[in-house]
Amino acid sequence: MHMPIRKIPEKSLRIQWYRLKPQGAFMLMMLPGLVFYFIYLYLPIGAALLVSIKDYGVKSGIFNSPIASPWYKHFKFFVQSPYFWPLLRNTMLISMAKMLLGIPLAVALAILLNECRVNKLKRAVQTLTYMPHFLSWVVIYGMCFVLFSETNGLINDWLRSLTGSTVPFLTNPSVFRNLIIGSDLWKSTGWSAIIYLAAISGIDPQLYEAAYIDGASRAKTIWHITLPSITNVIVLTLILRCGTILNAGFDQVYVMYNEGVYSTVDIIDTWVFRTGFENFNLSLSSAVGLFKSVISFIMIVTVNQLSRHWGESLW
Amino acid sequence: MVTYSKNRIYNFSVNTILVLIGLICFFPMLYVVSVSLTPYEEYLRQGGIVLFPTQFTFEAYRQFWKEPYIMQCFNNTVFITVFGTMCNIFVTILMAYALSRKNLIFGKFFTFYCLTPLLITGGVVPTYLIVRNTGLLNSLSALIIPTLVSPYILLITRTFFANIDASLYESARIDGAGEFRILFFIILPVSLPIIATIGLMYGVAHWNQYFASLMYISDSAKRTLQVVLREMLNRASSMESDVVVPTRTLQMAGVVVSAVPIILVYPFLQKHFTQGIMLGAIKG
Amino acid sequence: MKKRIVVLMLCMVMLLTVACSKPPGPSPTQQVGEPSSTPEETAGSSDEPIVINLFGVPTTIPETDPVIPELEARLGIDLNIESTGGDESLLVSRLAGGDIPDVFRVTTISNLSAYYKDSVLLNLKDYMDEMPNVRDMFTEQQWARVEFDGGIYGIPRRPEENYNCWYIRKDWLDALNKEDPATFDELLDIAIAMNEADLDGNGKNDTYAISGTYGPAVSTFGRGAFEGFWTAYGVTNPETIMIKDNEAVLSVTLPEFRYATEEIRRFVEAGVVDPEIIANNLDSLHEKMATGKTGICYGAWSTYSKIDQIKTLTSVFPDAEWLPMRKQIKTDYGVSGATQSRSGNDAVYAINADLVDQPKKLDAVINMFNYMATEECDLLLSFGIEGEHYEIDSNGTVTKLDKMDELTYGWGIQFLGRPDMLYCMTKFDNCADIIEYCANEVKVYYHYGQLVEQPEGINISDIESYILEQVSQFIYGTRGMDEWDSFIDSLYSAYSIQTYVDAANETLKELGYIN
Repeated sequence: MHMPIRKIPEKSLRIQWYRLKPQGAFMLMMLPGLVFYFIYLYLPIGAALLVSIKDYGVKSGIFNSPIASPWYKHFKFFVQSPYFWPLLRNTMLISMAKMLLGIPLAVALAILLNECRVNKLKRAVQTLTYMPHFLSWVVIYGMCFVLFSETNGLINDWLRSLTGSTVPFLTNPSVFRNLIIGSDLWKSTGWSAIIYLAAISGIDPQLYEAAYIDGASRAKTIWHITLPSITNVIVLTLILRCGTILNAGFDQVYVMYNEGVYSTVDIIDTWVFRTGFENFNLSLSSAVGLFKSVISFIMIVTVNQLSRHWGESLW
Repeated sequence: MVTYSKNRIYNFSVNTILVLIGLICFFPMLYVVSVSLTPYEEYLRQGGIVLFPTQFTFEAYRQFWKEPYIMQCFNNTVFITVFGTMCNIFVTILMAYALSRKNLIFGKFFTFYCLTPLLITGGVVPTYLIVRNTGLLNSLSALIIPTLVSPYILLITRTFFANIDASLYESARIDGAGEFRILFFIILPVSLPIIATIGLMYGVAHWNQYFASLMYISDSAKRTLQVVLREMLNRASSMESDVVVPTRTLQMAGVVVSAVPIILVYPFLQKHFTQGIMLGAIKG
Repeated sequence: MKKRIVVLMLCMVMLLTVACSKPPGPSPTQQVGEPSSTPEETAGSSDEPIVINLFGVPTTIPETDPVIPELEARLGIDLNIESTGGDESLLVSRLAGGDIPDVFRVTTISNLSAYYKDSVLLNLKDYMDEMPNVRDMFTEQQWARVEFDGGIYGIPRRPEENYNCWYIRKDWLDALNKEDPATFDELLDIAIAMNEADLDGNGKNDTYAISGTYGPAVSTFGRGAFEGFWTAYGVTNPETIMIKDNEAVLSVTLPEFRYATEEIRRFVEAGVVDPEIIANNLDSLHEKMATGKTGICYGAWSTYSKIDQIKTLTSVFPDAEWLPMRKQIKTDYGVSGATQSRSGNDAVYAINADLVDQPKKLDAVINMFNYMATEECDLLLSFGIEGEHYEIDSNGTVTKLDKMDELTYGWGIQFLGRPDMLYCMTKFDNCADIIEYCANEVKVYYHYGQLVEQPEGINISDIESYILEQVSQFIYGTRGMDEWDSFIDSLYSAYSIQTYVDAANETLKELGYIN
């Protein structure tokens, strides 16, 4: 079952008389999805809007709780609180680092795999590198502890015998942030490389052939052929990642952090969770969640507009 | 095909780097397995440094299966992974197919409708309220229905369908086939790569989901494996007077049990997967 | 090809039927959807036992548990227990959704007061006469902490005795020819000697004499490697409210706290403090203790002296002896001891205010608590079934039977606490002398923050985590002690701790702890 992929010109569709006929079938197909979207993705947004401008009370519920005075009370409280800037800084730092290191690493891995001429090695490495993607953060947390503990972890035991000193991976705030970033790269690089690898394998081999005949070295073809051919994919992933710039990885941080390292890894999401669910301030928690979403939205629209200049966009 | 491999040093360095990367990924996993197979006393005697087990025991695994409700939790996880993924695939494909068709009216609106939640989410509390008000709390369906469609995966699937050769549709239409017929008999048979891809993505998400299960499930017998595992790892920091703290080997056995099944799925889907993600991700 | 399509079709049809019947949910284990609504209906019929939803039990109760069924049988009720692993966020999400369980466990007083303000809690004042056993079980001050605006909104828990003290590797101490230290100078001597002597004989310089754990004062029993230092300077954990000269203060702001921190710095600089105390949890600590990586740990007997723990701690060095230091370390400011919350460390149980509309169920709940406050029920919840887990003679002496050790979740179902000394001395008879030592001879310093309601406009838990984090940085030298004053200033300016301290003064005056 082989199938050619080719884009057909839009014009040929436009003049077809049956253009409007199958709409009933389409609607039926979309129905379950649309209903799901409305209930589980849109209603929460609406609820968040309401809860965040009210003083939410359990007994009164969403509709009957009194509106906060002023209505932006919770937003104001957050923006003026002493943790606003540290939280924003931590979130941005972690998330930017994950993005700016993650994408080049994944591209590099994809190119390396593509350059490998030993098929068995290529396959083995490929399989090994995306295996971590299948591990949950709970699992990785367990692994980190046995590997990076300063007194009885494997890595530090080696460091001690090699250099005589140890690194406080789990307790020093700035080192711990690197551990958060590093473990994310470990988990996701292999997986995100797949998409670039796929894009590379779609490059016309004749291009390379021609380059070799011209005497280009293999290293040079990477720069002049491989990279330019996958720029569109890179930009696309970059746009998508920009939209989630304020998601520094709640699951990961929530599972992994401890009291000693709040100063560098406490991110907006974990703070929102603690405020809402540990201290029972649901309105504040919702307000901050919403604030975050709005920033994300502005981010992605801006980046998307910018990237249109390079001829790439999401929609 | 190009077969210029004269540059030996080049090949050698590429291969070396790859081997190194492979080891970095492999080594932590090996360590976890080794610890889980080592008797606890031996583990302590080695000071926690067991790269290869010198003595074997399955004691830690036997212990792990004695955790309260562990069998139910394992079954629950398998159930939501298998059944949940099937539901995901079904709804996503139907929706993505319709969205991918150029003659869908209000196509732009629907696309926007489906992509916005990629960026704006209601957050934990409101989502909880909705899940609760739709009566899903404390049932396994709370782990399936609220994540029925992932906007991101929908986007990939839609792109895949949009890239399919239009002549396939046309010939079917000329035969007078309806849209459902076209989808099920013509499009789906050539869509195995995308089915495998999104199946894997949904499956991994289901297997590893921890938070939803923590929030929505309160019945001990309905929890999922990750929650049990996290609870077990947490118990290590409990200082209550009667608590039996799980040993490191037991914890690692838990880690292995909750990671291996999902890892084993991958090789079966690998072939289709790479193709699927490529076709879905590159914008046509 | 054809076959494949047929299979696919079958799958799709199957899924479609499921998807269409979506509302009831596809789960085969689906049960009654709304936990709070079904019992109301069943409560009406007389022969069915009344179902009581009891939420937030901090431990998973195994299927094989014999204790709860026995309790149910004695009371003629059906307890629907949901355990949360002590995670308050699960209760909050429950409440946020408006699903208020009949009876639930609240872990902090500030949350209890938040729930009270939201009118979730039943005022027990009018029911006190219906549960005289409960009323008489607790002191006035214990009741005071669950009292808001004259009403009573929770059922306290009997406090535990102190479990904490300094522990030391006695065999190492003997090998070094030293005695239990009485001053920090002596302690430092011993610690340095332990560091240098390579007593574990592995030839590596990887011993940090002093180790332990680090965390909030209210979270656990054995919470502080540094508690021994703080108490010796007469202060409690940094983030707690203590009473000094008849005034409530935040411990960290006291000059004595700074001296204590400087004392700890001296130890850290000497290289004898485990750099990883903040990340330690109990099992990583046990590993360190067992492998000779540490020789002095402040902590609770319940974490070092139980039989299986001793087994772990001696698995590598069979001669290892982890024993309490029998001397207290003294400074000009105090004597090292342990800290404890005046409120008792544990959570309280609260009752859903809506039960007023279900008098039968409310009666059953009140009756249940009243029964839990009897000696008979204490025996059941503490020791299990008579004849199976324990025996009791006519003098009331409890004898442990082998099966008692299976009840490792007992602490989770001792809803009103337990007769702590009797319980511990019976169940953990191997370390009875240590239990007595900790309870009777270690000085206890009380902290009071748990009694204080969160004032409007500040977030106590944020303050607490900020303090803990910063103190750990000072201890390990990430911040220099010269920045201490600016740290304290930032507490006042950015975190408004004065508001908190004022609220504390007011509350503690009301409760009669200060005049």
